[in-house]
Amino acid sequence: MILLTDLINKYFLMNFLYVFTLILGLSAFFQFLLLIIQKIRIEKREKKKKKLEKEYTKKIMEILYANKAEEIKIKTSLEAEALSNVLISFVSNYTGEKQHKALKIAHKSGVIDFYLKKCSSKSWLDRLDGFEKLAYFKLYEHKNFYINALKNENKSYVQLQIIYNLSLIADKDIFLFLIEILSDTHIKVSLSLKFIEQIFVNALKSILEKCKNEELLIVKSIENALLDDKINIDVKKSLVHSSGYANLKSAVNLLLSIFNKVSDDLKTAIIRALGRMGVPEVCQLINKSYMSKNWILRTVSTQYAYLCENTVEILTKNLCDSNYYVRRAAGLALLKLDPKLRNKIVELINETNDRYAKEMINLILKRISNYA
Amino acid sequence: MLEVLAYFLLAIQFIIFLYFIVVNSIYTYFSLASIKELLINLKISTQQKLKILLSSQAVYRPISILVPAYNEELTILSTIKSLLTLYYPEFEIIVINDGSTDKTLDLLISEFNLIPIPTAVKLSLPHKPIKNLYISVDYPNLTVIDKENGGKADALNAGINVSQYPFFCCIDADSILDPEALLRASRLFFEDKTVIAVGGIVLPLNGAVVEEGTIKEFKAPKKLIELFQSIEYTRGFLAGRTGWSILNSLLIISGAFGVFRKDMVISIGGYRKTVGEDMDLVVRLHKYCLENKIPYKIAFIPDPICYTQVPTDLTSLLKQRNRWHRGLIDSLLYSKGMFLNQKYKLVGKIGFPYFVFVEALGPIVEFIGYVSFIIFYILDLISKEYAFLFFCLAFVWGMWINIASVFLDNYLYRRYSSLADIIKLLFVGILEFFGYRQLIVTERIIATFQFWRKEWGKPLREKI
Repeated sequence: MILLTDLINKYFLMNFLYVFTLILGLSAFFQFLLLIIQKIRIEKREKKKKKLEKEYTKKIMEILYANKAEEIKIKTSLEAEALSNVLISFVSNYTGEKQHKALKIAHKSGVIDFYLKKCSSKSWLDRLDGFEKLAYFKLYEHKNFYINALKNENKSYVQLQIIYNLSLIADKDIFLFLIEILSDTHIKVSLSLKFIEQIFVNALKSILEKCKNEELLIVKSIENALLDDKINIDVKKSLVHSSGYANLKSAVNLLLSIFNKVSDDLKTAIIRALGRMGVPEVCQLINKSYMSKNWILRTVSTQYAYLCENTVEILTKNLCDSNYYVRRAAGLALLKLDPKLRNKIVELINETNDRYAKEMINLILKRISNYA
Repeated sequence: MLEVLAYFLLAIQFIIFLYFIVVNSIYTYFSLASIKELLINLKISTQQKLKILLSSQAVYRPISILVPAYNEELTILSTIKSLLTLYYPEFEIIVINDGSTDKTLDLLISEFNLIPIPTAVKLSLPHKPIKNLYISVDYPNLTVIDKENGGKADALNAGINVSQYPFFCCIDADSILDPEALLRASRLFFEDKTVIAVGGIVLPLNGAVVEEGTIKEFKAPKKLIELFQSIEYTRGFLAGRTGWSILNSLLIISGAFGVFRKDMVISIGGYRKTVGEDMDLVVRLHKYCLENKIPYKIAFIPDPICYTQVPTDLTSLLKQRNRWHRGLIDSLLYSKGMFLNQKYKLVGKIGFPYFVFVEALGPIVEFIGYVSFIIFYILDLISKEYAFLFFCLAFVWGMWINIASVFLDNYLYRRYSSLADIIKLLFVGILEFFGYRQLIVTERIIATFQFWRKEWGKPLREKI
C-alpha cells in the first residue's frame, strides 16, 4: 500500500507538522489568554463608563437646573465617550436655553475638540466616529470644515456621514452643494432613494428653522434642479418628496406648474408631496391622474382622493379598477372619509356586479367596525 | 488489481488531506477576514444611527413580518409578544397558521382577540387555499392567516400575498427577535439601493432568561447538546457567513431571520416547496439577478438579532440536521447550472462549488477519513507518530477556530456576562471533537442518501 507520507520527504513532513501544530497551539493559547484578559477588561471599562455617565448626568443637571457654575473637563478618551453620550442625549432631548447650555458644555469640556481631532485621524473608523458624534452638536460654524473634509475623503461610509452632518446645518449654499454632490457619481455606494430623501428633509428643515429668509431662493434652486437634465432622477424625486415631508408650502406653485412637463415617476412624487402637505390644490393633479394608464400614478392619486370634492366619484371608479393596488388604495382612502360619504360609496358599489370591489369594501368596513 | 487498489487508497488519502486543509483554511481565513468586517459593523451600526432611523419619518421602509406556524402552541405566544415590542416605526405581523392540528390558532384567537375578516388577497404567488383571515382587535398590525397545510414555503408564499409592505421579514415561530432587529436590517436597505436581501446572526435561545417575550439575560445553556450547538452557531455565523458576505457569495440566509425585497422574491416565483426553502430562495435570487444583469447585494449584518430555540434532544437534533442536509442537496441540484459557471461570477466560481464540495459532499469525505484512520491505525499501516501529530493538528486547529469565534463574540457583543459561561463554551468546544462531530457527520451522510425525501421532521419544542 502506498501512503501519502511515502510521497513526501518524511523529515520535512514531520518537522512541518510539529512546527505548524506548535504555532497553532501557541496562538490558540494566547488567544485564550487574551480572551480572558479582554473579558475582564471590557467588563471593567463598561462599569467605569456607566459610572462616569451617571456622574456627568448629575453634574449637567445641576448646571442646567440649579445654574451651578461647575466646570467639566475631560482627560481621557473614556471620559470623552461617556460625556459625549450624556451630552448627546441632552442636546437631542432639550431645546432653547438648556440645549444651548449643553452645547456650551460640549465646547468648554473639550468634547468637541476631541472629536474634531478624531476627524483627522488616519483610521477611517476613527474619522467616522468623530463625524458621527459631531453631527449631534450641529456645528454651524464648521460648515467649511465639513465641505473640505468631504472633498478630501475617499471612504464612502465617512462621505455619507459628512453629507449627513452637512444636511443638519444646511443653508442655501449647502443645499446647492448637496444637490451637486448627490448627483455626482464619485460616491461609491449606490445611494438609496430613502437616504437622499432624508438628507434633503434635514436640509429643508434646517433652512426653515435657521434661515427662513432663504426659503424662496431654495424653491428656485429646487425648480432649477428639477428642470436640469444633468441632475439624476433619484435626486429630483427626493427633492420633491422632501418638500412634502418638510411641509415646504412655498413650493406648492412650483410643483403644480411643472407637473405637465415631467415624467410619470416625478408626477407620482409630486402628488405624494402635495398630498402629504394636505393642500387642496393637489386635486387639480389628482383629477388629471386618477384614470392614468400608469397604475402607480392611479394608486397615488386614489390615496389622496379624500382631499378632493369629487372623492365619491374617484373612489367609486377606482374601487372597481382592474389593478389590486389601486383598489386597495381606494379602500384605505375610505378610512379617512366622513361616514356619510363612505356610506354613499358603499351603496354605489353594492349596486355594481364587481365582486372584487365588494370584497375590498367588506374588508375595510369590517376593520372600521372593529376599531371604532 | 492490487496496484489499482493501492492507487485508489492513495487518492482517498489525498482527498481527505486536501479536504482537511481546505476546510480549516477557509474557516481560518474567514475568522481573520471577519474581524475587520465585524469591527466596521460595530462602528457603523451604532445606537445613535439606529435612533436616527427610528425617528425620521422619511427614512424607514415599512416591513411585513411573516411567521409561518405549524403546531407551535408552546412558543407562538411568546414569539408574537416579542414581535409586538420591536422598535420600528411601521410594521405588520402576519402569522400563517399552516393547518396546525394543535391549539396554535385557538391560542392566537383568545390571546390577541382575533376576529375574522373577508379575504381580499392579491394572488401574486400560488399557495394552498386560505380558510380564514383574522385581524386582532387589540393590535391593529397583527393579522393571522388560517390556511390548509402546505409546508413552510407554501405558508410563506401566502404571507407574501397578504402582506401590504414592499419588504418582508420571515422568522421562525420559535424565534425571538432583538428589539432592534428590523432597524439594524433596514439600515442596509436605507444606505444602498442595490441590497435585495439581508440576513443576520441567529443564536441559540436556550439558556437565556426570557420574560414576556423579551430576553432579560444571557446564560450558557445547561444541557451538553445545547452547548454543542451554541459553539457551532457562534462559529458558523460569526466567521462563516460574515466571510461569505464579504465575497457577496452568501448562499444562505437563515429561515429564522431574513429580510427581503418583496418584488424580487415575487419575480422569482416566491418560495419553492423544498425542505431547505431558505437556502433555495437565496440561491435563486443570486441566479435571477446575475442572469438578468441586475446590480444586487445579498447582505449580512453581523449583529446577533435573532434567537432561536435549538433542539434539546438528540433525536430532534439529528432530524433537524438531516432536513438541513437534504435541503442543501435539493437546492444545489435545482440550481446545478450555476456550478463553476462563469456567468454566475464569484457565486458560481467559489460559493457554489464550496457548498457542493465542502458542505454537501464533505460529510462523506470526513466519514471516510474517520473510518480509514481507525482501520489504518489498527492494521498498523500508518506511523503512530504521524497519526498522533495529525490528530493534534486537527484538534488544535479546530480549537483555534473555536476560540477565535468566542473571542469575536465576546469582544463585539458581550453576550455572556459571566466568565464561567465563556470557559464552559470553550470546554465544550474541546469535547465536540470526541463524538458530537462524528454523530452529526453520520446523520448528514444518511441524509445524503435520502435527499429525495420531503418530510419536515419537526423537533420537540420547549415552552418559552
